Amino acid sequence: MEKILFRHIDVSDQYKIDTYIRNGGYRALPEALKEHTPDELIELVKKSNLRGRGGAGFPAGLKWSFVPKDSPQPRFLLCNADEGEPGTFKDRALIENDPHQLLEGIIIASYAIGAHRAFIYIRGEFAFGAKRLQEAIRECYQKGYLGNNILGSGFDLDVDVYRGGGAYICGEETSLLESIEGKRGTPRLKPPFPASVGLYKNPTVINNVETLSNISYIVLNGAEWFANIGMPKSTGTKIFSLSGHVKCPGNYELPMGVTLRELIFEHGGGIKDDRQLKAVIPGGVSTPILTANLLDVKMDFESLYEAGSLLGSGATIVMDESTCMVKVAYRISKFFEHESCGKCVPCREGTRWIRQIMQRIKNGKGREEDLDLLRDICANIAGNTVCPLGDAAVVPITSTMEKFRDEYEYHIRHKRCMVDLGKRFV
Amino acid sequence: MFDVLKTIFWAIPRGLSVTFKYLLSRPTTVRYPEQKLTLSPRYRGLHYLERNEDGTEKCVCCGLCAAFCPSGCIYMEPTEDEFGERYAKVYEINELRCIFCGYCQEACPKEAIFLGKEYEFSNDRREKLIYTKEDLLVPLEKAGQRM
Amino acid sequence: MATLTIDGKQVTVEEGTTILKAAEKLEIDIPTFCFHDKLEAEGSCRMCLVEVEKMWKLQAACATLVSEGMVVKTDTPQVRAARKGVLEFLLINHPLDCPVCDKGGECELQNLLFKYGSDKSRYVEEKRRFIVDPQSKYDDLAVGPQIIRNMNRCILCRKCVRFITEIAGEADLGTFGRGSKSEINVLPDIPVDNPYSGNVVEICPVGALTSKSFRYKVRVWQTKATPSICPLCGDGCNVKLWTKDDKIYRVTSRRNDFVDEGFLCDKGRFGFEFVNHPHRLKQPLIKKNGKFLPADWEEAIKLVASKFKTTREQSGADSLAGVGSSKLTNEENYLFQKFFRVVMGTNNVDHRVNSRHLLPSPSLKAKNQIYSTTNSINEIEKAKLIFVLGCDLLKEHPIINLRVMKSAMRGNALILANIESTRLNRFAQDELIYKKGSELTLINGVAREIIKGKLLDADRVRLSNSEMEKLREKVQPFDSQKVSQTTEISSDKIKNFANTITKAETVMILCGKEIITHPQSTEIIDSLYDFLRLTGHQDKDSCGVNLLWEDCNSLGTLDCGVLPDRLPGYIHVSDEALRKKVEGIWNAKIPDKPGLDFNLLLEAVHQGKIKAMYIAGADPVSEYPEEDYVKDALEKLDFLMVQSIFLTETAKLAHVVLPGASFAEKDGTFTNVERRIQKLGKAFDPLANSKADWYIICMLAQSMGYNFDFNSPAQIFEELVRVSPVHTKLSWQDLNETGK
Repeated sequence: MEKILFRHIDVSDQYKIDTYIRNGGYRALPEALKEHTPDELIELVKKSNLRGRGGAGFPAGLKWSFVPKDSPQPRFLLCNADEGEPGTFKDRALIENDPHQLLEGIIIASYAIGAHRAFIYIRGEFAFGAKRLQEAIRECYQKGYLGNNILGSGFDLDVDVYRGGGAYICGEETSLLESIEGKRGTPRLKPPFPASVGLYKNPTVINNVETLSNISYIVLNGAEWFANIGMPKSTGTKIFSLSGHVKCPGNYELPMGVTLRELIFEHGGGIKDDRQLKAVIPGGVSTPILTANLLDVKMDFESLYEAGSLLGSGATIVMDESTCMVKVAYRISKFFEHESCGKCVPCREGTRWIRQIMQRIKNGKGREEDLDLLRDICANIAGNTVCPLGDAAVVPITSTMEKFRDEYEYHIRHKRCMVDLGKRFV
Repeated sequence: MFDVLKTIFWAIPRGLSVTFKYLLSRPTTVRYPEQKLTLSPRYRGLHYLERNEDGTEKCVCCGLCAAFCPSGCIYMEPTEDEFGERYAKVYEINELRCIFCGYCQEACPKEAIFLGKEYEFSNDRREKLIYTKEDLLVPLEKAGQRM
Repeated sequence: MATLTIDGKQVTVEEGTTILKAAEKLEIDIPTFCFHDKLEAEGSCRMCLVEVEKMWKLQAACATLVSEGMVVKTDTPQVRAARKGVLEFLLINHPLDCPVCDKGGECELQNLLFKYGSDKSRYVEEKRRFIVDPQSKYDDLAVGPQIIRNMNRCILCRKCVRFITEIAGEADLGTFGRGSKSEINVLPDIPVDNPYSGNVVEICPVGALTSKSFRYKVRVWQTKATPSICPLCGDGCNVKLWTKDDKIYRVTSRRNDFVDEGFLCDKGRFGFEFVNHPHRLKQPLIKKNGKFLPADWEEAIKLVASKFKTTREQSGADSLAGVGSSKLTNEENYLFQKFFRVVMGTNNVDHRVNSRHLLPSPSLKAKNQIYSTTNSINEIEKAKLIFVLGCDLLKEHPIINLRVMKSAMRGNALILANIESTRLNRFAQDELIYKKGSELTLINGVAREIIKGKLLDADRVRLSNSEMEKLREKVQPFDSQKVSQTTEISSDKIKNFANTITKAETVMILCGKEIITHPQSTEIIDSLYDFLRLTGHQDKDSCGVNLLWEDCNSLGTLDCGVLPDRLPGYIHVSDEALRKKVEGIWNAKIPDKPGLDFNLLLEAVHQGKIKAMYIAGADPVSEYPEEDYVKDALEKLDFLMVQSIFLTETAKLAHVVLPGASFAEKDGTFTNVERRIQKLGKAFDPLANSKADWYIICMLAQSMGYNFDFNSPAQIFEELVRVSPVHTKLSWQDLNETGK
């Protein structure tokens, strides 16, 4: 299968604009600016059925079309490069190795929605990525791909890189808006959605790096070409960040609908030390865990939803038989406690409580009633928080508790791990 | 005629039998100052204010006992010490008005006030029956052990 | 308009209303923590979650807008479970120190927990503590001179932070940290000391922020809340006095959207201590051999009455004089002037003791132009340009300052002209610092600039040709160079200002103490009116010149006729027809010659024409600009009677001092700057052996042979309504709640 985004990922100086152009870059941009109206572009992306790669899978074209056409306010395009989901490292590769591919997408998308100002909100830890992006933007201004009257089309655009402070919550779109505005990164209430009331109360579109990187190819090759890749409802390719107990961890760009088995055993080279597969988290830690018997599930939005999980950002974390699920759940709960922004009550207090209970169970001090209590707490958090972080925080707990309840019970009753038989905790 | 006879030979001896029975049984009267009755464990006598084990007062002057008191005989004024700790500057119970219902003990969230077993606190001066905090606090050496 | 169904009941509300407000209309109770009417909805406490049909999850009622045909349920098992869950989350780390906490008894967390929460805790872990001092058991931190923070109790509704940023316009309180470690705190060495800081204590739903003055003094359920009016400035904020026995423990706001919107300044909130002061007078005092000796009322009243009587007989009624006070109630001031006009038989009565320059008494027709604000407080928000002249709003009128700030934060223009920079200048578009006394030059200079610069829009000018000609002549000498020399403002700035004010849609002018006590105050005010007519801002909504009187009842005292030449309602004493009407009601004759104002009174005392004086509530010795002049005068009097709550500098000179009552100890009404008449509430009886001022006047009249047949201020007020044209159509009952 032909790669799209990773086509030139291994070219050593692909990040330079000349190399990018030599390899066929910036061909979609003049085409989009000169031969398409913004509405046509939105229609094109709609037809391609490109879905957001950040986690929720919302159709990008539809999102663009929500921006009010006749509003006198300025519009903004935000590129969400705050890649914080544990297990995900695809955007980093895209930014560091092929920043122009992203920029070309940003320029076309800005043109489509009528934005003259775009921001790339990059995770604070990606210092190198930010440097690469800034360098690329400078090159773009030099070549006239950015600034006033881009390529003589009369379209103006300025792009800025905004480095975050390193909060997971700022990957949530409304927190990201608050953060860019210079406030505490806490989510806003929705509705109103950012498409109508976003950055500085103006219409704003927020897209993921991977989503925007795809745009130039859709313009170049047409919506049909893109729609024919992958599955009927989940089109195109997806970069899977494979990690955990596999022989060859890394980013793999594969068409949507590839099976989990193929991803792990063909591309990932199988389980490390040839042990048994125990569980897979298919889309970052906020998606429900899958057990080994679901190895033949197709990796796309619909199939994974049917299997009881989510595609999320495509971060596939593989765990073999030596993994203690209680420890996994504890570690994830610790992450969510740390990353909860503290705005709304259920998430702020609930994530801490879950972590405390998980810590006790892990350390062999759990009580029988803790499992019911955990279930109750999770039910009280899910759906009652301002942003999806609360929902995400309970998913790993509820899904591991559902699928590996025996391990939890073993921990509580025997005060030690079911897996590490040699290691006692008490 | 029959009625008269019945009164003389039946009713009078029957009535007297009760008298004679008690004449022979042991008296229930206790010779009070020398002898004392044993009190039920739930007996409610004079109040006392408990101390923590380190000798500090337990009472934080929350005012719940005064709020509950049906006869309104508790008066208090809170204040704070140099560490910001709240305690009672004034704590008075008017024992003359108290009905010893024990609601103050029930209401106390700090387990600071109890009704003890003491019932001999008559006085010749009415003012002296308004017990102050100093009167009510248990002695330091008894801190932490319920009387 | 949108019609929606809440719990099976239909309600029609305006578009853009939240579910919470719609439910309020139906009297359906939705619990909240983080919601506050005047703050932007944050939706973070998740207590107000309700079920909305066709929405997949529960919605926050405080932020969700209604839509046509919406079906809301507030009492389903799912909603109840969510509320219970939220309360459990809040409580797991909340310390159980309710017995110590000052909020105990009025705590929203307590109340809602009783209503919706569980009585068992499932939390076995150690509670979270925000340790301030490792040595102490308590985690109290003083974040400001008046405010103590206890982070353990905080539920992070952030109402305090939002109030400080959104309403008070400051940044001295903020949220620090993230997640479960979030805390409300201040930056090091920057305490919360803004003039509205006390409000955060009031809006805190739990005991996380408590005030030092109320700390550990009394439990709320032992106190009684009496609705009253703050007496510390002319804004007339509505307050509740929390009292126990004869002591005020705290003052909180009683929201009145016409005046204060539910906020108080720190002066009003913490400035009640004078009522509890140990130096309050408790006994009538009679001076014998230069020393004050306590006396009983009968003796004191008898002495005063006989002194006044003999003075009147010996030297005539006009040798008596009365000085009222703008800090007494309307009823007392009315009774005071009636006492002088009827019982004493003189018009020598005044109250304006704090300035040498007095505004002329207004005629009935022009009363609104001279003595009152032309606009209501609520109109401030609507004015497109606010021009503040000679007024440090923050110090003189903190609550009007709040409104001006709100207006400026919403994007309306604000221009300040003061003798020195004020704190409001952060919100101002421009600030003109002029040299003291050069106000008139400034205004005329700007007017000239407008005329000369041909900035005028001919359609907007509200001056007739002749008036225009006159104005042109008047401002002719004020050329820009001269103006900028006199005022010390650069001519560019004046030009700019002239430009802005002509172009503005609506202009509201606020004048403060600096203007009211100015030697040329009348000219300044006249010029300002000319100025508004010139720029077409006359007779429009939120346009006008507003004099902001300083004291709590300055305007009311004027309205009640404590003036040498005016009867209540500004009836001139020489106006035969109207005076006759008043005489009819009073059933007595009123002298038709105007009396002496305070300046002339002093002069007359020095000349020996005034023999006896009765000062009620006022303290001219410390208020009058020339202290010694007053002192000398008062010492010259044969007899001086002072009615006061403290032994003031004036009272020390008196022969008899009668103890009056503070605002908390009597009924009555105050008139605020926008002429809103509001009721005081009597929280407790006058202290010890003191008496309400109106009662003292009644007693005096009685012993002088006149029967003032009043049992309560309500009766006095009813008579005032009959007498005064300003107060017509009012009744005592109408004044409840928001006043009129």
